This record gives sequence, C-alpha cells and structure tokens, in this order.
Amino acid sequence: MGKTSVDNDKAFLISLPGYDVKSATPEQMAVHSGFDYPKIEEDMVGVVDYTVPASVSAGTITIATVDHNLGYIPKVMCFIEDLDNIFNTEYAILPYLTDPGLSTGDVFHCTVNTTQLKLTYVIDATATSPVTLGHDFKFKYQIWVND
Amino acid sequence: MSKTYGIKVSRKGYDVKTASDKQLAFSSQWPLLPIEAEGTYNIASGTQTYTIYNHNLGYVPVFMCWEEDASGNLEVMDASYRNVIADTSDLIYKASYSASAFTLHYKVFRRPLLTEYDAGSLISTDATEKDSGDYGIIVSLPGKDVSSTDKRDFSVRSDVRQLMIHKTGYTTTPVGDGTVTHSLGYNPMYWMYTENTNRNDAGEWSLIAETDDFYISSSTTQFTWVLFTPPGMNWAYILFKDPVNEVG
Repeated sequence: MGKTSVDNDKAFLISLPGYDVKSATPEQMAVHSGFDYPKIEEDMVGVVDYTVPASVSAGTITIATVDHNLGYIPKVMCFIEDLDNIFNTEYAILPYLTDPGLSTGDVFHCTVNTTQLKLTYVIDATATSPVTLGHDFKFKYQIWVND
Repeated sequence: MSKTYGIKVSRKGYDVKTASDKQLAFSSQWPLLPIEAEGTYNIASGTQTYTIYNHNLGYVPVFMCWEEDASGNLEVMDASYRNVIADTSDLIYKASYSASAFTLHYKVFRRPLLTEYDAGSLISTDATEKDSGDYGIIVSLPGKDVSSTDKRDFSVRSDVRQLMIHKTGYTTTPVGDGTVTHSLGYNPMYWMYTENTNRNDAGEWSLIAETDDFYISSSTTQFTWVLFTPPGMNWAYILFKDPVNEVG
C-alpha cells in the first residue's frame, strides 16, 4: 500500500499546544483527519494471569484465546510481566524467548488470525525443563481495529 | 506548556470533565501516532535484505512491524531475529535470516523517533465509569463515509482507544542503560528502539526485543532499560498513556 496519509486533508485538524492549526505540519497536530491512527477496541483489551504447570512436555500450551471476529487480521500488541522475577526483564513484548542464553527454546507468543487472538507457550524439545515451571506471569493484550 | 484552547474527548463511559488522562480517547494536549504509510512485504527464507518502503521523511520515523506466517497467524515481529531498520529515507529489512518465508507487515508513523517530549500529567486520578453511552466523536478518513460500520474507515473515534504519547526521548552517546522518570502513577506501555552499530550502520534504528542480556523495568514513576553486554548503544523510547499490566 505504501503511503496512506493525505497531508492536505483539512476536514478535521487539531494542533498541539503552541502551534497554529492553519500552518502546523502533520507532526505538529494532535489529530489530523488525513491520517489513520492505531485504534484499539475497548472490549479487546485484556489482562490474563497464568501459572506455568509444574511440568511440561514439548509442544504448544494454549494460555488463552480471545474471539474478535473482525474478519480480517488485526494488528495486535501484547506484553508479558514476570511476576516472580525469574527473568532479568520485568516486562517484554511478545514474542518472548524465555531461556536465557539460548538461541532456540521456549517462547511465549501472542498471535492473531481473522477470528481470534491466541496466547501460547511453545515448549521446544530441547528445553522441556524451563526456568518458568510453576511461576506466575501476567499478559496485557490489545487488539487494534487496524489491519 | 502554554495555555491552549484545545479539545479533549473522553473514552466511552467516562465524563470528559473528570476523566483521567488515560481515560481520554484523545486530547489536543498531546500527540497520537499518525500512520504515514503501511503495507506488507513478502520475505523469502534465508538471509535477505530488502528496501521495504522509501518514506523520504528526512528524519528517522517511529515504526512498528509484525510478521505473518503461511497459515495467516500474525504477531509482533521478533526483533531478536529480524532486523528491520529505519533511517532518514527508508525502512529496510537488513541482512536478516529466517528459516521460512513470511509476510512482513509494517507501519511507518509521521513522527520523528529522535524527539525529546513530555506531555506531563494533567489528571492522574481515574474517574468512575458512569455509563456505556457514547456521546463522542467520529472522524472518517478521506474518501470514507462517516456512516461506515467498519472502524478501519475512521481516523479517530471516541469509542475506541488511541495510542496517546506520554513521553519520548533518546540518547546521543552510547550507553548500556538508562532511566527516565515519568509522572503517570502506573506502569506505562512502551516501545523501544536502538541504534545498534554492532549490527547496523550509524543512523540506522531498529526495534529491540527483551532477551537475556537486555531488560526493561517499568514502574509507576520510572522506566529503566539495561543492556548487560557492552559496548553501549544509543536508545530511543516511547512511553504511552496506557498501562502495560492492566486494562486501564
């Protein structure tokens, strides 16, 4: 698609503090009707608490699913919080590789298709005793109404 | 910040007179993230370099990428493996390996990444949600009907959330870590970028993923990042008026 914005659209313009709306550039606008913005459905924002089982085997664990039924693949953002402080990082954007120092291993994913968002934990065959066993995590997801 | 005669629009269910900053859909007091360009690009397996998009903005823009597999499953691009960089003219998938082909989705935003900005906090105490009525505003995109039922046809709407920028900043001298304070009173959502000259050229900025040697901490007052492995890099961050660990 490439450029989707229309710089010279003047239907609805709100400039930022200190800028004249008649001469402000798009970068100096709070809202510009010639531009689309990331938009997030109110009922498609959520938090999921999850405890990794005490033992796992290779494969995919489904943590949660959320139906959106938008009929297209929306953009999505998802963060993980390490509630038990077992990782160096407190927060991470998914996907997140959980095994320090490994180039492959267990990964938390947040994927979305045309109907559903899915939180998963993929256990690699080489890492079936991850440091996450029995530990608590929180996920914050948001589904955009942008494709 | 100067006095203004602007506008603020609350999210559905909140009284605009008492809504906290994050309960607003948007406000003239701070910017959103305007989408300059977007699209997809088919990435072949193996090690590839592609110019994804020539933005020609003259500055390094904020950008975000996702990847879609052959089965139609999409997630945020794994920045620990994929190397997408933005410079002052292009968005480039650079010398990056993938075991299988995939479709890269990108959005380039009309905002310089290297911007020092602090919106401040005007109202930090949340209002109680009152009703589910929506007495707000919808603004359709050029060429789209304002009566459309497809929310993709709209620039902004008060019945959805917009990503509101709270604070942005960057470093000009390579460092291993950094801490910035913020006045939000909750742990903010963030995007993080680096000018990694171990991997790319100077002036090329990429997304960075949290790994075993790079971590993020986001408290109610501070945002901290740490890279364990030297040498240091330059960094750019965006903090949003949106909690990273609650619905908000």
